[in-house]
Amino acid sequence: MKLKRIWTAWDTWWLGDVAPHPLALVRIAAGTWLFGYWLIKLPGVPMLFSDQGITIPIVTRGPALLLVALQLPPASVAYGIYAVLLLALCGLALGWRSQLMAVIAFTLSVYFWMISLHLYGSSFDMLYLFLLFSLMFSDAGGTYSLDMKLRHGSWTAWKPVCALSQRLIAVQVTATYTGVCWQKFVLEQWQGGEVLYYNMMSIWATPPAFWFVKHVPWMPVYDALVHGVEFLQFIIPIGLWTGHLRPVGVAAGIVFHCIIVAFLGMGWFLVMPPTYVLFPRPESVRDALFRRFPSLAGPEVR
Amino acid sequence: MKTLGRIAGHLLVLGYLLATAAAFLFTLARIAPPVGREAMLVSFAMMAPFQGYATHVYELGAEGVRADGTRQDIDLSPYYPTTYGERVVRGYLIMYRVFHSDADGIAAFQRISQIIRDRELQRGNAYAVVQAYWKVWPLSPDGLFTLRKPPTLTRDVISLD
Repeated sequence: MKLKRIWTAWDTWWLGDVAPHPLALVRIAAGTWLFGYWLIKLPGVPMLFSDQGITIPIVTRGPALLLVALQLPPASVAYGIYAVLLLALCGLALGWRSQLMAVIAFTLSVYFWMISLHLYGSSFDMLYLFLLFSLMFSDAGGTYSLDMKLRHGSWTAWKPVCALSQRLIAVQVTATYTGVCWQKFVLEQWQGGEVLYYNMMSIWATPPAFWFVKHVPWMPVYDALVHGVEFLQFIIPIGLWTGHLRPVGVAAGIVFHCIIVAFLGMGWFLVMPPTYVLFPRPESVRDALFRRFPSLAGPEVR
Repeated sequence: MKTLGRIAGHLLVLGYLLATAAAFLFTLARIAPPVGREAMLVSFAMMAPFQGYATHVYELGAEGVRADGTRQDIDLSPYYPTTYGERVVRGYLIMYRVFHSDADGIAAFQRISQIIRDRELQRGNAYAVVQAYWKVWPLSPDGLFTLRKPPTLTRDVISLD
């Protein structure tokens, strides 16, 4: 009996129907963010994704069809594929056939990753792929979407959606912060302040970072900063999942990402804070939204 | 149909959680699972950014050798319409080496050299051979490029150490 209750709770948490509002907010934020992220690559399309550049596909062995598909295309074809990706991301942000748009955007992003982006080998590109992958499994257009406007005459009309996408993203964000934090306890290069000292004058360093290392050359300061970073990363996932600590988790996350941007210029991870809205109960987010912004409240439809 | 969808959903969750747990173990102890290495690596890539530091910049460089033996340093910046950081990291072929091997990595650098030779030929610069190498210089609080000049700027052959 107890096992059945546990299974039911597990099943409901992962696959039950929930209010669509948190996921819709993430869809809008992620779709808009990714649209911008790809749009700024426009001038670089020939060099990054066509046979004019110096890139090699990640797959070197396998089915002939796959190897042919991953041959670098002419620039005109690369522009065409790129345009479809932009349109899909635009559709996703607007909430027009969200799941289909997520499938298209994910597929084309994987394609571009396999022919070129893998050379960058960045964590954020993988997170972006995971976001799109997750959005394939629930209708993130369940509210605040063009779909709801076209079908029900209101942007704010809403219908319950499967929780799966929301849960996958929330668990992944937790895994990312937890892995990033815990690895620092075991990685040899994170046992002292040198990792921050040198990275703050590395290829990623910003002018404020260079100013800091020039005027604060004392290693004990960087030793302490390492512990500060570890503390922030430790507290973020715990705070996000714990009701009364949530404001602390949210604040820690925002402070952490702002520091990263200020000192290392890495703005790509700013897509993560909007996902914090996926951690509370979806119905709590919906109710809070309706209370705070009455114009965002709409009728439930089936 | 609904039951099938639910079963598929739970299989997806199970696979995802296994890959994530394996990646977490790999992050902390470098223990890789016997199967599903690619899925684990994808998950690992999402949870393990920023693992260390370098005291020097290693920037990919290329030198063209003409048929008459004269040498010309090739400006690679037109090939990298990116930030300088991305340009440097792209030169490392990190994921390529993660998903393949160091030997494949060396072969990939040779392929990159051939591609540069082909692209340069299209630009009217004919080289018999293009040799990729590292431009190396130490980091400095005074600026990223402050020490990017002799004698602190050196030239290293490509190796994966």
